[in-house]
Amino acid sequence: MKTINALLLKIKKGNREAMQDLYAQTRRGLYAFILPYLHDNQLTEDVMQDTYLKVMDNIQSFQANAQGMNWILTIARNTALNLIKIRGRETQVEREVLEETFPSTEDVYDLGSPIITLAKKILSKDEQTILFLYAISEYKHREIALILDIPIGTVTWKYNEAIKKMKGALTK
Amino acid sequence: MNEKDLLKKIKHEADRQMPNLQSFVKTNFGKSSSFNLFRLIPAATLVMSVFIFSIIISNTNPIQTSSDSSSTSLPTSSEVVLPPLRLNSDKEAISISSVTSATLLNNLTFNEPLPAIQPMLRFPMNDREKINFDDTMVLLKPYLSLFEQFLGTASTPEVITEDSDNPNFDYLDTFSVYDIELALITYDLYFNITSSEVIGEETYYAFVGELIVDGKAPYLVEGSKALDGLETKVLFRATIDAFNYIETEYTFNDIETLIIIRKMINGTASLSAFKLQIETDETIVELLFFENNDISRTRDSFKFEYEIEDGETILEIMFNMTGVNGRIRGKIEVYVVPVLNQNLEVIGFQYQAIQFNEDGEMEEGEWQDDRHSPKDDRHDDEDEEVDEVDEDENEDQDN
Repeated sequence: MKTINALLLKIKKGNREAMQDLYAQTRRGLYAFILPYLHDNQLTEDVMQDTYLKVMDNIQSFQANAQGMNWILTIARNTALNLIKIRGRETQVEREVLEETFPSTEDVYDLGSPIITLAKKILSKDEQTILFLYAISEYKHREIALILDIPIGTVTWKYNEAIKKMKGALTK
Repeated sequence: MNEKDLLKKIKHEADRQMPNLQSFVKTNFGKSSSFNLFRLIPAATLVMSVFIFSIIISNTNPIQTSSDSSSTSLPTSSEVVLPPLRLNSDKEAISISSVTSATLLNNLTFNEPLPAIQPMLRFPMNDREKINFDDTMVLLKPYLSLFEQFLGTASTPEVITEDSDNPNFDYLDTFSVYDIELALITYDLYFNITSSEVIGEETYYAFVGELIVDGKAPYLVEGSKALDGLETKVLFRATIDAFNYIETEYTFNDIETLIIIRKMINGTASLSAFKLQIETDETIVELLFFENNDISRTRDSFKFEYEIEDGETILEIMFNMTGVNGRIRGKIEVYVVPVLNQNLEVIGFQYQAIQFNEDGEMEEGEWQDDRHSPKDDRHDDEDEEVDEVDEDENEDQDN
C-alpha cells in the first residue's frame, strides 16, 4: 500500500505516466470494492472510470500522510453511492423499460460468473466486499481492515462467515 | 469445493469480467493533443474577466442567505479534501434551481419538442464506433444554454434580497448570470412563504411565487427546503402548465453537488441529472442522462467545460456513451457564432459543433443550430403590449 501512496505523490508532482502504474496496482481492489455496491459489471466499469478521473482531478488534495488506497476507495464509494442515488430515483416505468430493452444483460453476466453471482445473492454487502477484496485483490485481512477501517477481528469473522455460506450454497 | 478453489474461481471470474480500462487510461492520461480549431469568434467579444456580484444580505425573509462555510451542515471527510461546490445558503440552491428550471423550460418549449423516443443510432466506421452526432446534439442542445450560464458566470449566483414591488408577493430575490457572450441575464423571484418550521438550527419552509427571467412573462414556481430522512433537500418547480414544468431536486455529498431534474414537456416525463463543481480556476458541469425514460442513458455522461484557446471561448463537451460494442468516448467542441446581416451587424447567434474521437482526430460532419438564449423571448409581453397599443391606436384612428 506504500507503493500506492508513492504513485499518488508522483502523479501529484505531474508524473502522468504513474497513473498507468496506479491503475495496474489498484484496479483489482477498486473492482472488488465497487462491485458489491452496484451488482452490475457495466456500472462498475463506469464508476471505476469516474474514480480514476476524480483521482486525477483532485490529486492536489491528496496528502502524503493519508492512506492512498483509502483515499481512492472513498472517492469510489461516493461515486458509487451517487450513482445509486440517481438510479434510486428511477420510476417504475423506467425500470420496466430497462427490463424490456435489456432483458438479457444480467443473464449474460450471470452465465459468465456463477460464483460471483452466487456471492452477490447470498452474502451481505460487507461479506461480499471482504471476500472480493481477499479473493480478487489478494489483500490480507489486516490490509482489508485498514482499507475498510474496521477491526481485523471483524474482517476475519465476516470472511469466515462468507466462506461458510458459499461452501454451504455450493454443496446444495 | 474447498476454500482455495473457491477463491481461485472468484478471481478467475473477476479477471474475465473486469473491464479493460487500458484504452481509457491511455486516452485520459496520455499526452493531450492540440487541435487546429475553427477561428470563428472574435476574441474581444468573448474574453472578459470574471464579474463579481455585490452581495446585499437581508434577513427579512426566512430563507437563509450566504453564510460562513463553517456553518454548513454538509458532511465532510477526514481523508478526502475535495473542492466541490458548497452551497453556503439555501438561496444559492434556489438560484441555481431557478436558472436550471427556467432555462430548460424555455429551451424545451421554445424549440421543437424532442421526439418521444430518440434511439442513439450508432454505426461502425473504420472499425471505430461513432455516436450519432446530430441526435446527440439535439439531446444536448437544451443544456447548452443552461451550462453557458453556469460556466460563464464562473461562480454561484449571488442573491440580492429586495423589497417586493409586487403587491401579491411579500418577498423578492434577484440574481444575475452571464452567458457565453457575457450578456447579463437577470432573474427575479417573487414569492410568499406558505409554511415555515424550525428544527434544530435549520429552518424548513415552503414557498410559492413567480420567476421572471429578464423581465419576460413569469413562470409559476413553488419550492421547499425539506428533511428527507437524514438528508436535506431543496426542491424547486417552475411551471408553464400541467403538461410543461421542470422540477429540480438539490442534494449534495462530500464530493459533488447533484441536481436531479424531472421534466414534463408536452406531457412527457423524463429525468436527468447534473453535477456542478466550481473550483477556483474552472467550473465543470457533468450531465447524466435519463432522457425519455430510457434508462440505458444513465450510462451516458457528458462533461462540460469552458476552454479559452487563442482568445476564443469554446464550450467543450467530453462524452462517454454506450455503444453497441462498448464505450464510445470523445470530445465535442461547441462555438457560438455570430449571425450577421448584409450590413455586417450581429443579428443573432448560432451554435456550431464539431466532434473528435478519443484519439483526438476530428470526425466528419458538423452540427449547427439556432441558439436561443434566455434573453430570447418565450412570451414577449413587451411586443404583445406594443401590438395592443398599435391596435388601440388603429382603432382610435378608425373611429
